[in-house]
Amino acid sequence: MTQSRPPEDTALDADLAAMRDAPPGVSEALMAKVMADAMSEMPKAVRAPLWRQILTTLGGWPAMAGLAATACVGIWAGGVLSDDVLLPAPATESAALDIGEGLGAFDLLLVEG
Amino acid sequence: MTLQTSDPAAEAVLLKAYARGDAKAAQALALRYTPLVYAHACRMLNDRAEAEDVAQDAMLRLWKQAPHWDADGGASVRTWLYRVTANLCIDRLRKGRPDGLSPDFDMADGAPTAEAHLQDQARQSALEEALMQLPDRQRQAVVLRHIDGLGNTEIAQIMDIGPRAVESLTARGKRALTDLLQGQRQTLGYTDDTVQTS
Repeated sequence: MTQSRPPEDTALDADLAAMRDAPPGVSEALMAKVMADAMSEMPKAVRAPLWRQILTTLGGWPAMAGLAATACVGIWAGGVLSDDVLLPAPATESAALDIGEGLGAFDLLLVEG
Repeated sequence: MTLQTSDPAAEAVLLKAYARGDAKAAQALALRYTPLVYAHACRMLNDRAEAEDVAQDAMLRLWKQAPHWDADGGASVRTWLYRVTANLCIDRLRKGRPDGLSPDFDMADGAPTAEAHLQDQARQSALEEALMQLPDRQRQAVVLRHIDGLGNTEIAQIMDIGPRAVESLTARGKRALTDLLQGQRQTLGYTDDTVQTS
């Protein structure tokens, strides 16, 4: 069995609902003050340190890893490989430049004029 | 009555954006929360000027708190704001009890004042006066539950009490309002929801 509510409870609920449905309006002055406070308290954008900006520009940590690997190979090549491989052969009167065979039409391009 | 629910995750995203210097986030937060805190302060203090001060103070605390907000903590910005607003209101009430309804205050300001709405305005005024006669905590619970439309769980977090204590406060508050308004209705001459003229 459903108990009917006292009429004063119903009336109070109606009054409370009416108050809820008609909230007091915020004045433009108040909103302006709130926004002014918001802007003055807003944290300034934090700049990243220079090293992080460079890292980001290069492509991040994966790119840096590739650069490091390349640098290591270069250092290794300079320290391990023999001079015979790296340095050109000294010029002599009897030296002849063997340009190989099979260059086709490009062989004349290799002859100094 | 439809209960108002908040989305803590969405609120945290907006607050985080503000903390990173997003001006649009600041505007969105101000537009969303200033009316809530101002309306709550109005109903607690029954004084528009005081309510504006409290609303500005509450929002200022939100701006200061933004860089330290724990976005992963699950806390609701709305709940936090209501709690701050209520504490500010109670502090003001304890410092100087208001002398009933402020003569310059009209919460229905802007509402139609045509003769056809006089009865509604009179009832609203009576309710406002009755609310101010409740103990602070009862008024707070009644306003949060039946006017701001929050659930008992959220009210419990705001008031730092258990949900059953919230139910007890709201029930006692409503009973007190009913008794106060019963006397006021007789004074205003209500019968069958009409105003008697003689």
